[in-house]
Amino acid sequence: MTIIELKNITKRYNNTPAVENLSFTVEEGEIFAILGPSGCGKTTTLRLIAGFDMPDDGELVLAGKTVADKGVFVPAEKRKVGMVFQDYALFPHITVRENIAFGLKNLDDKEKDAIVENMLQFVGLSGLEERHPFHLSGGQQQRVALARALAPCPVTVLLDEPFSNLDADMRTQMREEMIKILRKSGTTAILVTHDQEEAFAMADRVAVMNNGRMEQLGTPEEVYHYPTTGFVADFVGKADFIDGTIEADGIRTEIGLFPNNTRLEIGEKVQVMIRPDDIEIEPAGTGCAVIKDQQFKGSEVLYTLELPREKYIHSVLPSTRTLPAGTRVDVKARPVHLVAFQNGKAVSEKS
Amino acid sequence: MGQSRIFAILSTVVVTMALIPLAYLLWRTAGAGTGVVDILLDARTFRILMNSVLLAAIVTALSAVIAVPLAFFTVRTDLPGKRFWSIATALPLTVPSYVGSFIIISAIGPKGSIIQNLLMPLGIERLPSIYGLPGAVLAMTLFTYPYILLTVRSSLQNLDPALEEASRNLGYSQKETFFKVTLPHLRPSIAAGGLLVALYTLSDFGTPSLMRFDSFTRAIYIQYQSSFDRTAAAVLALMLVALALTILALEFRAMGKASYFGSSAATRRPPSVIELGKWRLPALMFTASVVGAALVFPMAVIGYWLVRASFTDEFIRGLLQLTVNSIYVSGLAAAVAVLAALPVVIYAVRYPGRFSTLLERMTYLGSGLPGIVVALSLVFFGANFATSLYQTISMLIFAYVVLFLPKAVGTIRTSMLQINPRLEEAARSLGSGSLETLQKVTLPLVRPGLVNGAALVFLTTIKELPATLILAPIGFRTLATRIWSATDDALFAEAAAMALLLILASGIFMSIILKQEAQ
Repeated sequence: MTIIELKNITKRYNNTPAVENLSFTVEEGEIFAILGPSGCGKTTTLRLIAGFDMPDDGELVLAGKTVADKGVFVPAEKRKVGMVFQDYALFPHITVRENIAFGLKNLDDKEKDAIVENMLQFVGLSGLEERHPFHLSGGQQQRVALARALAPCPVTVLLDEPFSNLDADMRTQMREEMIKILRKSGTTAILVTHDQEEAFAMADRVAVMNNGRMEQLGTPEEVYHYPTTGFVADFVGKADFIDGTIEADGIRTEIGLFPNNTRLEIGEKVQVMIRPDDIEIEPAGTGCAVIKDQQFKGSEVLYTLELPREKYIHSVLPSTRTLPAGTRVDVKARPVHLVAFQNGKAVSEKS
Repeated sequence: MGQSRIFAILSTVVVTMALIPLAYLLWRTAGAGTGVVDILLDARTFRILMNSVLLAAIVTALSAVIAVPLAFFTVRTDLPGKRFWSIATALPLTVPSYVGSFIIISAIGPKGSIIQNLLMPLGIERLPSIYGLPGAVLAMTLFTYPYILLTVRSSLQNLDPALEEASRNLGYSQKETFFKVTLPHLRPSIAAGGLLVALYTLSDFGTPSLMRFDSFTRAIYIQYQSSFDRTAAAVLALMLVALALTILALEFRAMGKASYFGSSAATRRPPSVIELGKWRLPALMFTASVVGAALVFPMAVIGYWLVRASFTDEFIRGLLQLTVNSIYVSGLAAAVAVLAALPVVIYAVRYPGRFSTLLERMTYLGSGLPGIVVALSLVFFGANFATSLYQTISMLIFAYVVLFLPKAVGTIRTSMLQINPRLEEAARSLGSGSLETLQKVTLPLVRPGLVNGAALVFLTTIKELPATLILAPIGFRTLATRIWSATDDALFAEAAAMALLLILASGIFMSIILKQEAQ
C-alpha cells in the first residue's frame, strides 16, 4: 500500500522555488531517504509532508487521503505524521514520560501509561522517565524524540537529519538502533540527510535532490553504481571523470580501453566515471602516471595520480603497502560498473 | 606579586566596602537588645508588612496581566505597527516612580489637579482621594509592567519554533499548543519578570511616600525623621532587606530556570507569525490603551502644566543649578562604580574559582538593598564612625556605588565574557606582560561594556530619590529630590518642568547606550 504520494509538488519562497515539480511515492514499511546538499529542498519536502508549510502547486496524498491540493489543506495536527526534529524539540518543561505521552490524546491515564512504558522499553530508556530532557545525553534525547513520534502510531515518521547532533561514534550506534526500532515496528519512514553513507545504510530507496529537483531515485546500489547524472555520481561518493572517445572496439581513454556499453556512434566524446576503488596501481619505470600525493587513512591509502594530460585521478588501496609520492606507476582501471556520461547525463545502459 | 593577587585584593576591598551598610545595620540592630523584639511584635509593624506584601502582590499580578498579552502581540502576531508598539510599550520603564506619582496626583488628585481644575466651575472643590493603596497600585503598575514585558518578550523570541511544530505534529491545534507548550515555556520568564516588579515595588520609596501609603519604605523614612531612637527604623529596614533578599534569591532561581528553557537550536529560525484575524482590533485597542495610559497621558500632563506655567527667572536659574547638580553626582557615581566593578569582573572572569565567584556574587547583594535602607545605615555609620564624611558628596557617591555596583558589574561582565581569552594569551605569547596585555588588549575590547555600564549607572543615579534625599549635604538638591518635594507641596507646574528636564537628561544618555549597542 502506498503511504505517501507526492504529485508534482512545487514550493516557492519569495518566488525562488525551494522544491520544484517533485513526485515520488513511499510504500508501507519502507524506509525512504532524501539525500542532498544543504539548500537542495530536502527539509522543505519534509515540512510540506508534515503540514508545516503549504505547497504552491501539486497534490500530496497520505495513506490514501489527499492532504494538500488546490483548495485542500489538512493542518499538521490532523495528519498523523510523526516527526523527529533535527534538534529533537523535546519540551523542556515536562518530563520524559510526559513528552512521550504528549501526543496520546483521548486515552485514559492507564492506557497512556501502558503505551509510554512500552515505548520506553522499546527505545531502551526505562528508568529515565521522570527526568527532564536537559538531563539527558544527546543519544538519549534522540531516543525520547523517536519514542514521542512513534507513540501515537503515526502513519509515517519523518526524520530530519536525526544524527547530525551526535558524535561520530554515537552516530553509527544510533543509526543501527534506529533501523532496528523502525523495522521492528514496521514504520514507514522518510529520512532526510546530507550524508550518503547514512542514507545508504538505512534506506530501502534513496532520492537524490539538487536545487529543488529530484536527480535520481533508486536503491542505494543503483544510485551508487549507476548514477544517472554527474551530480549524483559526484555526491554519493568520490568520482573522477576521464575523457574518452567511442571507438570500434570500446571506449578509448588515457588509462586504457573500456567496453562500450553505450549506443553512441563511433567518434563521440564521453566522460567515464571512475571510482577510486576501481583503480589499481603498480610501480613501473615506464608507467603513464606519477603519484602526486598520498593520504594515509588507516586501513587504506588514498593516492592522487597525475596523468600525462595534466588530469588527476584517485586510487584507494589497502595500506598493507604504501608508495611514496613521486613514484611512477602503471594504472589499471577495473570498473565493475562502467558508467559513461555525456553533458552530465549517463549514457551507459545498465548491465 | 602575581596579577591574580592584585585583582584578588582590589576585589576584596570593593566587596567589603559594598557590604558596610548591610553589616552595620545588622550590628546596630543586634546591639539594640530586647527593644528589637518589641518592635517586631508590634501590631503596627505587622500592618506595614501586610501593606508592603499586598502592594507588591497586586502590582505584580496586574503587571503580568498587562505585560503577557502585550509581549505576545508584539512578538508573535501580525499586529499592525508591531515595531512601533514594541518600542512604545517598553518606554514607560524610563519614567521614575515619583514622576509617575506626580503625574497621577497632579492629574486626578483631590485638590489642585487638572481634573479638579476643570470641574471647579461646577463647584467641585475636592475630588475623591486617590491616596493610599489605589494610587500606589496605579502609579507602580503603569511604570513597572515593562519588566515583565521585556523578560517575556525575549523568552518568546528564543522559543524554538520546532517545539510548537512538534506539538502540532502530535495532534494539537494552534490554540491547544499555546496553552500546552508556549505558555509553560513562558512561565519561568513571567516569574523572573514578576519578581523584578515585586522587588522594585518593595524597594521603591517615591510612590509610597507621595501616595501616602504605609509600606516599609515610607514607614522607615517617617520613623527616621520623627524620632530620636532610630532602632525602630533599623528593625523595619532589616525586615525589608530580608524580604527583598528572599525575592532576589527567588529571582536568581527563576532566571536560571528561564535560561534552561532557552533554545538550544543550532539552526535558529524566527518565531512563526500568528494571524490575529477577528482579534486584530481588540488587540490593537488593548495595546494602544496601555501606551496611552503609560506614555501619552504622562506626556500630556507634563505638557499641560508647562503650557499654563509662567516661571520666574530665579526659578529658571535654580532649575539650571539642579540639572547641573544631578548630572554632577550621577557622573561621579558612574565613574566610581565602573572603576570599582572592573577589578571584580576581571578577577571573576579571568581567574574563576570559589573565592572570585563568591566575591562577584556578593556584589549582587546590592541589588536587593533598597535605597532607603542603604541611606539610613550610612547615616548611622557616618554619624558614629565617619563624622568627617557625614553629609558630604563623598558619602552620597558611596551610597550610589553600593546601590548600583551590580549594574556596572553585570554589564561589564557580559562584555568581558565575549572576549576570547585566547586573545589575551596571544598577546602574552607575543611578548606583552600581564599589565601590558590588560592595557593593550583587554581594556580596549571591554570598552563598550565600560561605557554601557557607566551610562546605566548614570541613568539609574539621576533618577535615584531616597539616598539623595537623606544623604545629600544640606542645601544640595537635585532634580529628583525637588520633583518629590514640589509634588508633595502641590507645586505641580514646577514639578512638571523638572520632570521634563530629568527625562531629557536621561533620554540623551539612553541614546548613548543604544548607539553603543548598535555598534
